[in-house]
Amino acid sequence: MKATLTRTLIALIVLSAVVLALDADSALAQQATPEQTAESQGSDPEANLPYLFAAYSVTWIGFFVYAYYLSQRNRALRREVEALREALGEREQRGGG
Amino acid sequence: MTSTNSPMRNVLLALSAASMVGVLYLVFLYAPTDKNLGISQRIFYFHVSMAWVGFFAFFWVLVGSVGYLWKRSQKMDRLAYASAEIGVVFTTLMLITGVLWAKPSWGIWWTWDPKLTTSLILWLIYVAYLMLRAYSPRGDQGARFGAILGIVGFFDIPIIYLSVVWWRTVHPNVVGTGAEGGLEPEMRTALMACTVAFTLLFAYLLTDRLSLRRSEEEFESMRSVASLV
Repeated sequence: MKATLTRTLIALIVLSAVVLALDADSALAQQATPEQTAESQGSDPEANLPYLFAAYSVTWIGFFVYAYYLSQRNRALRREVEALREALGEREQRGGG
Repeated sequence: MTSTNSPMRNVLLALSAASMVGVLYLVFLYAPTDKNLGISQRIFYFHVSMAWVGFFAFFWVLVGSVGYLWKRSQKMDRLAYASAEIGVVFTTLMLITGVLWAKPSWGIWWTWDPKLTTSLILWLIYVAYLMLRAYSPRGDQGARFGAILGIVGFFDIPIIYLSVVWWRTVHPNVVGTGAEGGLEPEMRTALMACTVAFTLLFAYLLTDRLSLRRSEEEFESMRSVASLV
């Protein structure tokens, strides 16, 4: 399980690096300055609203996913403790009987 | 023995939730829209605050790592591990929001600019730290290896900060002084409030993760005792 996760993570990192490098190389020549960006936005001040929406959504989803992971880990740990207690109890009973 | 809600943690949760509501007001209604970058500049408040809290988390990794190597204290190792995990969460979100801000501002998603590249290296170092801790043996050896990486990794942070001074970069020096770094007072207030809110969230997550880590360690020792019985 851990090995699969690691391989997936490494593959994702390598893939992201390649995609980002290709994108950066092709777009670097036509990189816009803030003034050009402002010009291109022209009279529409809400032109970049989807980016703002995406950034704030990703942030909150990220924190919720992490909080969910912590609560799931906590629940799993509680189950494991219960199972361990039961196993120990059974062992004691067998030892006593 | 599993992680439970302490009053301090509840207070931190309430404070960070309340401050986040205030931050949303400051970011969207109080701070003016940037003349050049338009509405997408508002990404900046979350992006910079998360970067700051990420660095702050890695500072605690440094403190915990040095403390562990010096005193061999389990508490210090726990602090380093929990801070590293939360630091990676903040840095991941900082990188993603940076990418989402770069596209409307520069016309590209990513560029191998010194500041961006050193930030990505920082993220990779602490992902490696978490992987090292997951795969190395439990106990002193794993904690020692982790502590060394935790200390070495921290040296990337001053490099990130100074990259705008040392090299030519497209990344603005937004928190500095001078013409390029000047922020309007309302923007500065929103940024400060956002940083405080995220620091409170970090404190809440840290107390939660520390408690869970303690429970995990207790469970591990309980299991090894049970296997010996």
